[in-house]
Amino acid sequence: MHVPAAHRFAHIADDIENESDFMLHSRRQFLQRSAGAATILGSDYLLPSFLSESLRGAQPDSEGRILIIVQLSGGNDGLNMVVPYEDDLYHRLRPSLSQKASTVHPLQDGLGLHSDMRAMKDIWERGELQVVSNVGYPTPDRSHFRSMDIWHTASLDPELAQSGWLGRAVDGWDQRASADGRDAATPKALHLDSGPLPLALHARKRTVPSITSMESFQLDGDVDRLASIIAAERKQGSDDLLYVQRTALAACTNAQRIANVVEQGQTRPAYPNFGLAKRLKEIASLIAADFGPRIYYTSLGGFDTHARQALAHGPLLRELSESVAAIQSDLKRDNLDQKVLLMTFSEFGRRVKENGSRGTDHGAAAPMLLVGPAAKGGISGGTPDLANLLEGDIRHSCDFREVYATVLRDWLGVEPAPILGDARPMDGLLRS
Amino acid sequence: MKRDWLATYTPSATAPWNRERAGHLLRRTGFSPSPQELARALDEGPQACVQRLVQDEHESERVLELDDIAPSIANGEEIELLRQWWCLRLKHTRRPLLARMALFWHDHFATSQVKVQDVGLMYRQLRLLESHALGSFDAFLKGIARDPAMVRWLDGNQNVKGRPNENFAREILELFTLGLGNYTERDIQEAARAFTGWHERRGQFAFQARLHDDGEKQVLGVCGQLDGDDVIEAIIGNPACSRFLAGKLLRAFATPDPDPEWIAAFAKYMQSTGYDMMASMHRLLASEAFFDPAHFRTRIKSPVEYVLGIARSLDLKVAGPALARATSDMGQRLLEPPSVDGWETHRGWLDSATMLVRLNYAKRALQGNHSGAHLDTLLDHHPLAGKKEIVRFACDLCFDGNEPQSLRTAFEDLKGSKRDMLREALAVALSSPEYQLA
Repeated sequence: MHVPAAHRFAHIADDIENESDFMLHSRRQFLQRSAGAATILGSDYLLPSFLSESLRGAQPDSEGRILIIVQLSGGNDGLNMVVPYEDDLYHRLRPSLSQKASTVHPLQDGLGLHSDMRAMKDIWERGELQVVSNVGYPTPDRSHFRSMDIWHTASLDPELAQSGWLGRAVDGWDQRASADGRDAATPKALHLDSGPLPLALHARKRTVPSITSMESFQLDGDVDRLASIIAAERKQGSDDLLYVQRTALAACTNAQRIANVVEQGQTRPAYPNFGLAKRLKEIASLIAADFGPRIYYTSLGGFDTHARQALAHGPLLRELSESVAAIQSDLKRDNLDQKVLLMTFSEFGRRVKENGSRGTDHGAAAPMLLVGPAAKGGISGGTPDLANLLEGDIRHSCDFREVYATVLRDWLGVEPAPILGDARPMDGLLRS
Repeated sequence: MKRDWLATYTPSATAPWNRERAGHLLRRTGFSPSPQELARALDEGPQACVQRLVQDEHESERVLELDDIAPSIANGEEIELLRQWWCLRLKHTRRPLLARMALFWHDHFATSQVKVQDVGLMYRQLRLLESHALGSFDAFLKGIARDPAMVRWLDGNQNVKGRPNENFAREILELFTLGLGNYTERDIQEAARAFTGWHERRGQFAFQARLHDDGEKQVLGVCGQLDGDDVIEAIIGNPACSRFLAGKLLRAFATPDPDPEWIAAFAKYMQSTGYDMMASMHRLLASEAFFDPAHFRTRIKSPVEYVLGIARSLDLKVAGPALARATSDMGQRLLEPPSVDGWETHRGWLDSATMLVRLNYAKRALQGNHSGAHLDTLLDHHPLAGKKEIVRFACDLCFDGNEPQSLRTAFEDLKGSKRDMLREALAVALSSPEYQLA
């Protein structure tokens, strides 16, 4: 929806009035300079309000619920994470890799957590862990890349998709905000990880910011002047040039905003010494500072355990559970846990029968975890049926898009249909 | 009328051999050119220039020196030193196309030290990539299938008779040669059997006959007691392979979004040469289609192109650690690609975080201890009388002589000494959105 330029500029002017005297002078110049860019980038690129956001600082949405996604990259062996330890077939198919009944942390229905997931069991005891079993999709693809793309785009033809499922949610929020003439520029999602922006966060309108850590995100020199040079009008700009321009402006604005959060000097409690814990800790401080995003995305890699799986998988599951437990108790301390839901997924599970290298090959369906006070607390989807496999892999009884739809509708308050088509939300995953 | 995608470019009144075309050729086949490199290309004309780029050229003294110390780095345990060594070689090489092809293949056969855990093996793979970079793809595949780093990377040692490990078989079909949709799961399972026993022992390729499954197999419609080489022959004989490779080369060197007919024509030519990469690249780079202005500045530079382009075009004195760190921070940590699928190129290079590193680099590149002296040297070599000449110099260097209208205000604001103005003019140019494109 188109918003008249004057309307948008009125907002910028308001923001300036609210600014302290410090910087005011250069910011005004900055806006005068960048007025040209607004006319070309216009409402399609949300530039004016986007710039205005850099002046305003975070505008918290107190009602806003937050979703943290933890991607388990490489194909997590779901069967050894949520273990059917009472099933003889499981022990027979996994002679060297099976989790012994005596060491798993029992949940219900003959399922238990991997022995290294003690911290996750504590979350279960509090009723804040929901396991969704056997999640997958029809005709599973066993390529890491294509299956990951399927999960990211929420499409079985990921080649045709132009954006990721979370990117589409971000697009929707932006559109609504700009239609209301409100600020459309608070980053609605943030990728906090090394590596490129995941396809799931690819939006059509703007680049979702991606940072490796808050510390790494500092810009040298006079940011306003730099931004004004970048924002200058491009008359014959290609789409790619405009993409670069938008990304560079995003770098300037986000650098300023993160500098503000760091300045506020949030002190967090100690987290365990894991990479994932470190990233979740930064996410917690951004949440506590009301930085703005409603979606935070990070990942834990190394799950492609073709050989000698036990050496790698246990420590990874320990890192996952202890890191998740740490952010949960941190958020609880500030009474913020009520507004945060954490969700894990992986591109696929692994073959039920272990291979000859004491590892497992690419498989199909696997469990997803939902963590937080909002999670119902229980297991949906039941135990995997190891007697009825599909080419050696667990059949899916629940489509991942139904889990997405549930989280969108019942947690983020977003209508799932425009994002996911006809995937139906499920009952019984979240507390109503 | 059907377009002849392979027609040779000859300069004409409507398509003259000028700064823009020469700059385009040099950026795509190497890095942003220095004024000397550009002058030489303009002087040579397109055909002689392309000829020189694809063929052998004596390496610089610095590269020969670097090659002398290579064994000590390869025998060591620090991958960071090898990364710095590679960056310095890119800085000083006189064979930019060969260097760019090696980078292309490093992305294509993406292997990471994170799993290989052996600097010597990574070094040998890098040399393998270079030696086959402009050779025959057929021999290249046979070499890469025996490359010890690749064997470790894709679990070759776990691939044994009766217990096949599909990792290498899957990736050679999906990512190295045919692409999704051009093979079946069955092809993967059978190809995995063909590669059983292709192992690595103490850093050498070792064929373990006992562990090799020499039974009947069928891969891509070819039957017999196939071994790995037979599978590679079957792949090479499959037309999907040339299409896959042609598309990838065009995206890397010509345009991010090549016309399907262009891919088909280039694939056909590639096949007719028996996958001769030197002949194929020669034909591509000398073609009218390659020099179509529609493709100028349509690719987003990789971090290596960005950082080394700045260093080479300005002849900056930059040390290996700085080059390796800058490219890594911008998202291209050489020798540690994110996955076997390589890096996400083009727009994938840029998000607000990696862009921020580029912006900081543009500023810092000309701020070090030596840069004041370096700017003075530039001013000595290029008599720049005042602001106007300084802006012109920056625009010649960064934009083929065209001053982007969007930077006019920034250039008008230049003030201070000549040295300050030159520093600022270059910082403005290097941090501009325009400069991110090649």
